[in-house]
Amino acid sequence: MIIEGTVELAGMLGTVPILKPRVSVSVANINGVHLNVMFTVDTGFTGYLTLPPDVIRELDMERLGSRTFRLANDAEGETDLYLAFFESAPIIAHQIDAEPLLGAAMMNECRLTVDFWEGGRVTIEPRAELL
Amino acid sequence: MTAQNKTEVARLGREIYESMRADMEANEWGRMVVIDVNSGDYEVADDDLTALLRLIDRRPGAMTWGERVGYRAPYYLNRNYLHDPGWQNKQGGAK
Repeated sequence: MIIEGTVELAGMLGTVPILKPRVSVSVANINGVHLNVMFTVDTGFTGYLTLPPDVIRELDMERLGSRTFRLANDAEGETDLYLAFFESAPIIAHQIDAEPLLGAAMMNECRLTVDFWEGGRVTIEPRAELL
Repeated sequence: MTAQNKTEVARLGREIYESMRADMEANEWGRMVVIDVNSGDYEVADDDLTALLRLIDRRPGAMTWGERVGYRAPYYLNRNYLHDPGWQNKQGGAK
């Protein structure tokens, strides 16, 4: 399944636009309850997804433990881990109180294309579906 | 009593992992070990998800801790999203 989205203007750094590739993905809990969540595509995050606490609560997800994250400034922190589903396949979601991120594990064996201008197209296509 | 909060899961998980670290580093370098901190049972696989699913299948209700053998952390983030208060005001919400 192809995931699609748009490059959005997230703010300005002085006169420089801060652009972020965003995609809408339907995330489900173990009971099949779905919620559409807008994610920022972040190849610097090595997991599947991060979700903020309000989404975790809304989906009533079961917590399955905790994991350590190493950050770019060499600091570390722990996050809670939940089991989520995308297209009926299990994935790991980490609870982080920040904008939801879609990471590298979610794009494994996919083609990521980004038209990096405001309103530009974002696509994530599974390698197996490429012509 | 079973470990529930993040700090306690991390403390127990690290303690159990320390007891198996030498064996893991000798035999499972680079792989993911996922431990149920309440029973001490664990699974090793190439990735977190595979090890996690195997473990919760065998131990329903497991509270897990994960280590990437030989590495400081199993996950990397390129920005400090872990401490980003007020992001909803800056970004306009999650949904």
